[in-house]
Amino acid sequence: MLISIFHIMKTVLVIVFIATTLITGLAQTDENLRIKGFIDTYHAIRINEPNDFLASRSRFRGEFEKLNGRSYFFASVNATYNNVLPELSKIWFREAFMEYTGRNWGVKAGRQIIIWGKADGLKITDVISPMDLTEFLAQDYDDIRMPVNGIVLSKFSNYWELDLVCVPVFESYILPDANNPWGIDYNELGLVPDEAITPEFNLQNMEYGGKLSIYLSGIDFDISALKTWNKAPVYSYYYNDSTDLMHIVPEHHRLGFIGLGFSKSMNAFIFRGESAFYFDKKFSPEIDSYEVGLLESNSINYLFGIDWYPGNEWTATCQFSDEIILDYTEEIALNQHTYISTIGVSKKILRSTLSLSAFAYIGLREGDFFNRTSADHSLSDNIHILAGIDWFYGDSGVFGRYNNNSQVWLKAKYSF
Amino acid sequence: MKISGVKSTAFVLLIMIITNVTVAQQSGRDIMLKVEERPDGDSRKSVMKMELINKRGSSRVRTMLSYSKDYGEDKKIIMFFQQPADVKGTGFLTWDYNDDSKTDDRWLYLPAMKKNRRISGTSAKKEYFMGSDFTYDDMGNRDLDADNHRLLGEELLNGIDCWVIESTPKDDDGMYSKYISWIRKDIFMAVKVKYFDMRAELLKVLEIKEVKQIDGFWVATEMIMKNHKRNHQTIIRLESLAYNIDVDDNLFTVNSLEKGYIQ
Repeated sequence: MLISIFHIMKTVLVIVFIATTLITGLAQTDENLRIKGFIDTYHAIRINEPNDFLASRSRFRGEFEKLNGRSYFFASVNATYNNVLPELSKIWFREAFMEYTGRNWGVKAGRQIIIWGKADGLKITDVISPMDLTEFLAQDYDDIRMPVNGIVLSKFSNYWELDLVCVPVFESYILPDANNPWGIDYNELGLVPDEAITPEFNLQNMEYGGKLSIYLSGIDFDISALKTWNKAPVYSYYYNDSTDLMHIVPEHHRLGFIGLGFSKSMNAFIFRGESAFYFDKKFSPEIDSYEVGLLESNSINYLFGIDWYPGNEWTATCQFSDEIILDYTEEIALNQHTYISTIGVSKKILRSTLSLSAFAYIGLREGDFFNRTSADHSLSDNIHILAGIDWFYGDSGVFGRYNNNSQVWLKAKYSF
Repeated sequence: MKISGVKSTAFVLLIMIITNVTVAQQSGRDIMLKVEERPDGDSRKSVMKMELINKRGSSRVRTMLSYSKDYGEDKKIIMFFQQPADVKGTGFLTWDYNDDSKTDDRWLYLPAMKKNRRISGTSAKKEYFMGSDFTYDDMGNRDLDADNHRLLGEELLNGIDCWVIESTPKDDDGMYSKYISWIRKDIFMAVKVKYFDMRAELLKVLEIKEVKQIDGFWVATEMIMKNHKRNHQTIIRLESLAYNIDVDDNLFTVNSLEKGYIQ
């Protein structure tokens, strides 16, 4: 098995090398074709025994872009070798899109990352690009985001921009499986996981919506609406009499929202807010109430945040968010309010060559948290060396459940 | 004819006297105002290469492409990093207001995050820019009336007539106790500036190494800032300069910032 993977990876790396060489050669003859990217290697060790590797991977990313007048394309290719999860050793297109920009309109089609909203690390209206939670939140946030196949039609002026989005193909979150240190072993919980119920690939199941952003002196606004899917699954249960086992079924359903956001500057502070009213959202039942099936309710998600730029390359951020389930019943597996807060601090020193940062998610109800503290040293203009600690704390809650996965990690990155 | 010649000479002398009186009466502020108001067109493009050299002689390079356009007294600027590789594509959009009571609008775009965000427009002016020896103020954003300006005299600097002006900040929360500028009389450009720290000790010296006239406008195309306290220096070279270019207003929008691939 390992020998087979080794041969596959060797072949992949040879292909990547040849392709990169060819494209680099092409870039030298075509001034408009630009190449950038990075190679990084990341290794994380569990702090608790057995002190095993929770992550060990190396990656090549090549980004290719070409601007020709008003036409543009962008493609990024990832090739990863993953020691801990060999099935994730692969080469794939991360993004591949083309774009045309007229004088005050544009269209962008292909595999792309679409980001909405004013929140950092929390999702209120930013639900179009799903998340790759293979390593939960213990990776860079830009690695957590997944591209989608979609079309964005934009109309803009100096002070506003209207984006109409259409994503024909449903894509769900990527969740860790039972073999993954970040996965949940349902068998251990006495549950049999079934295949996820996902929408069929047809026109009726298309995701679509729009966002109007307004940029004024001192303040930005946005208004958005989206007909989408719950891309993070909700779970129903059923009891199989013949096997005497409880089954758990991940399900994805239609939902929609209307959202509002703002960002206001005031001296050294930025005040941010975002809210969304979700229609017909499905919720998982408590396992003891499995017979009621999925429960439906409207909900309100909101967030307030403050960014502080006190100077001397310090930044501090703080956010508070809540999801309120409006038609709440005791059978719903969540509390009526889900309070999550984030706190972040960063400081650059040594002429901006060393960046120290800490970012924490805090579950206010359960008292659990996840904190990533890191140091990023720019060894040269190309090479960064990073080290950090991911600390999970708590006995329960979204973050507390990983209290045995606290880790120290080391990363090196060469950008070109 | 002779009388006429005398009259003519007298007239010229009179003009010279009046001119000299006028120059003599120019205050330090008047000269610095002319420096600030030196014509630079209504719109401009440049590629700024900034080389940071430490005391061991090793260097790092930052390259930025920028466009700016005047809107009356206000200005809009969009800037993208081209080097180093890890920040390539990072962009800043600034709507810079002349009215001091109005905070500048500033947005940052991080290509790795594929996201723009509004950032504070107030806090950066006294900070060093990207690890260089230049603060944002040093790079020309300092308000004229943030300092008291006093004309110290005149000097020949490298054979060029200059005014020497001492500027003292009105507030005492900055990093300088004063700075002394050598202003070229012919083109109203500071060609040397000595900066003194809050203990009145020499902190930095800026020297303009190359001045060119491009599209009819005088511009410093190469300058070096030496930090004598930290034994560190920054060289800035401006390339691909163009003035009064035809720039679409839509360039100075968040939409353009997010695209990041503008040439």
